[in-house]
Amino acid sequence: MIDTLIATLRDNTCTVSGPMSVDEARAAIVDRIAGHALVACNDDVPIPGLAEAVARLGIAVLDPRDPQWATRLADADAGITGARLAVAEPAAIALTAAPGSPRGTSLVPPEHICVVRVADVIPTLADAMQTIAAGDLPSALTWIGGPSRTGDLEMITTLGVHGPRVVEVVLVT
Amino acid sequence: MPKVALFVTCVADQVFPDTAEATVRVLEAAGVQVVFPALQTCCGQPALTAGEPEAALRLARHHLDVFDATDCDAIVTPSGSCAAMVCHHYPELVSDRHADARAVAARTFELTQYLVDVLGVDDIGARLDTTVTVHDACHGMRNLGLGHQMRTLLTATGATLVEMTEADTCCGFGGVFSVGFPEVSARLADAKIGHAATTSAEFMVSGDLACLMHLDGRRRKVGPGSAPRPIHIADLLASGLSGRR
Amino acid sequence: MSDGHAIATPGDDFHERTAHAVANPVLQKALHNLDRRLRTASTSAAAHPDWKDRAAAIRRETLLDLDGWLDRLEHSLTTRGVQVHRASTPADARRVIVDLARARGARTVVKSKSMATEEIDLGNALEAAGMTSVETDLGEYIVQLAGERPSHMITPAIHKTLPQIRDILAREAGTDLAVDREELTRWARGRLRGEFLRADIGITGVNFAAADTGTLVLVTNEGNGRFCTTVPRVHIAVMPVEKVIPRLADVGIMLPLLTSHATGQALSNYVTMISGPRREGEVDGPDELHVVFLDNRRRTLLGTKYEEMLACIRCGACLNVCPVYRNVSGHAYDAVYSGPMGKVLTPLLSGGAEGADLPYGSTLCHACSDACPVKIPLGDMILSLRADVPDAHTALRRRRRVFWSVWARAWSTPRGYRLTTALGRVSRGRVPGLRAWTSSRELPRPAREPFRDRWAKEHG
Repeated sequence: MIDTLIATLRDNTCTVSGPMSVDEARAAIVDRIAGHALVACNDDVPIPGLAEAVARLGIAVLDPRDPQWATRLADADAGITGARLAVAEPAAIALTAAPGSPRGTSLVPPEHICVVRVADVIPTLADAMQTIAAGDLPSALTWIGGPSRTGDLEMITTLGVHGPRVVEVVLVT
Repeated sequence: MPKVALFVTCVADQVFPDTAEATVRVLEAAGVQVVFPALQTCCGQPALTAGEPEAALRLARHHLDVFDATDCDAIVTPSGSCAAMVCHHYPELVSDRHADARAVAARTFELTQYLVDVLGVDDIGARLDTTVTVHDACHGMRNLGLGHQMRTLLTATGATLVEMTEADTCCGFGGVFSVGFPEVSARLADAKIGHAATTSAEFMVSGDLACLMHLDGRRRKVGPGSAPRPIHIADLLASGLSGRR
Repeated sequence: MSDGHAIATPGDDFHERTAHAVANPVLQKALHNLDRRLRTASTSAAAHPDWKDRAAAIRRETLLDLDGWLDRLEHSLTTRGVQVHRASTPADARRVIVDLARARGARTVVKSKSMATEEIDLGNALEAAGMTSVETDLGEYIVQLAGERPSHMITPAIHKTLPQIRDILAREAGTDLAVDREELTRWARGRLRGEFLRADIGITGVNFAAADTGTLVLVTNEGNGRFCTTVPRVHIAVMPVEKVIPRLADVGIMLPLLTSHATGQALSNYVTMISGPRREGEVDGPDELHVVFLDNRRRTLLGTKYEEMLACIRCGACLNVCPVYRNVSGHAYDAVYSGPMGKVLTPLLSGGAEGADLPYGSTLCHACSDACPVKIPLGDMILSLRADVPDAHTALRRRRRVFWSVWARAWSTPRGYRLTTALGRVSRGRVPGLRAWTSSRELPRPAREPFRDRWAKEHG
């Protein structure tokens, strides 16, 4: 199931790494964003101390509680989020909107890093929808399959239309 | 010996009588006795597709009268679309004679369907030394599930079967469409002829004379002359019966 | 002008437009690309054959009690703080939306692709009210700039080649742009990003609306739908009434069925499930969420043989497989909805005022019926409409009726059949439609005597 998820996400032009431990993931992400100036980070990222580790590198971290959040987000180089769950078939990751996890973090910056816990991976969309529909629903639940794309230009896929051009999925145990 | 009533179709009767005769020869070669109810005319499909169900209903009633009164095990026709008219449309069209319509529909079969699915005959003794490709006529394929029967009969003759790309895409005839929208109709014929030509087959075989009339008419007008000759399955099989090919 | 229409089509307009389309080399080149999508879509959908049955059942369950499900949906939405507006006609819908926008002092509106907003001609209404309305789906943006209608519900600019697209975008940009997908996309992204950020209102359609939870489901690949429902303070969703489904869990099947048939994707890149406006403490999302239920004569189909047309989930599969659509594309239909589903919906929703000749432009091959993920008998409906739709060309209709009535009277008796066919042979086949046939085809070689005469001779 995890293998299916990884393979399909890669087919959809995502970069996928892991499964790895939380510590390894923290180091990998910090490594990945080394050249950035500003990174938006949601509360739901399941990696304790990530924001601090990023800040230690001298990279500015945009917190959802920042009063200038919406304006500053437009300048962010990347957005880092967690996920509520992921589905292997069809491969997609579900993000929940909440006070500490704004919608825009996975939409506005050109790069989206998404941390998914292996324990939150479910086999099919049908299974996931049964669970989701039975529980409390967030104001917005967004499923993401990969980078933003269009086929409108002579039916050949081009990436990065409105949403992120680069999507990196980090699986943690 | 099974007894079959030939539902000849107006197109075969008037325009392609050789195909009607070939149909009889093929059925007889399969060990079937053929009778021809002489009072039959037309199933009414042209009027229905023109949007005139009342007119079609007149003909449907006559068709039911003729074939209801005919003592036979099955009613066989060399046209998938005419068989579909009876099987798919009659029960709803002739609503006040629903039981009759269903009874006739239940006994009505297209030629290849009858041979392979009902009689269980794959090989009628025809022998062909040629390459063929198949055009799946729409109504037979989609309303009656036709397709594998023709292919079974063809390969049993020893002919080489090469499938064309988009064998199951419409040829563009479509009844009144062919004269109401002649440009698109011709374009679709060109596409079909083009796909057939790529197979290098000698014949493009189909189970609907209307499709064949349209495709052959287009091929003769604009070519290419090298494209496979459109031919009805009955004509091709019958030609293999006398050992001519 | 085709002489075939004397016996076939009630008018010649659709025919003429298809003839122009077939003769247009640029369009034909663009349409060639459609073949790619055809092949992808059909292979993907084959994976779950039982889904079509289940989806068809869900849609029919909804239609059996459409009003009940709409009431439940309204209740669920209202509980979540969503404002529901019911619009009987396109004019009602336009009025509701323009009033809402005016009341909030809106100047810029961003729109995510929605056939429903095309149906009610919303863009023009907003412009007339002094607002700027920007299409944000790239394909829709291109046709908006070109001043055209979308030609396909999933790929609105399918009729445009890349050089044509470059010309359209470069004109808007006021600078030179390369005929390069990456560059054109980058430019459009930048331009539309600006529109998103200053928009006062985001308007979208709805792919599905779950009655049990009051959740709206939106599907996109680009992310424009997400922007429209995240940045502006107000989100208005235009929902044709048949979009309601009983349970949110149903989307587990409906969604992949929709996307696999629409684009060959197991799931679209983004699916947004919205259950109310932004909540306390959230930093983005709309303050207000409105849903407009649009009827536009849909309820008149309930209880008729055309009721199942309301099961349509707007996937576009019927367009992709239609031999006519593939060769002419959407503009030939001169209607909001094209392809086989447009042939059915256009005359029905307009009460015959529009598109009465569309059902004739079909070969009745039934590829559409086969392709439909919710098993709508499109081919049968197209045929039925030829008889059922009242049309404006009454003189032509009467003439046609007389022709076929005479024909039927003659051919329903063996004697009449024999007489008229003998006449036909004598007149060398001078029948209506002859010119149309011979303009592009040879006639079949004449048969000297009909089969029945030969049989009679042989069998006595």
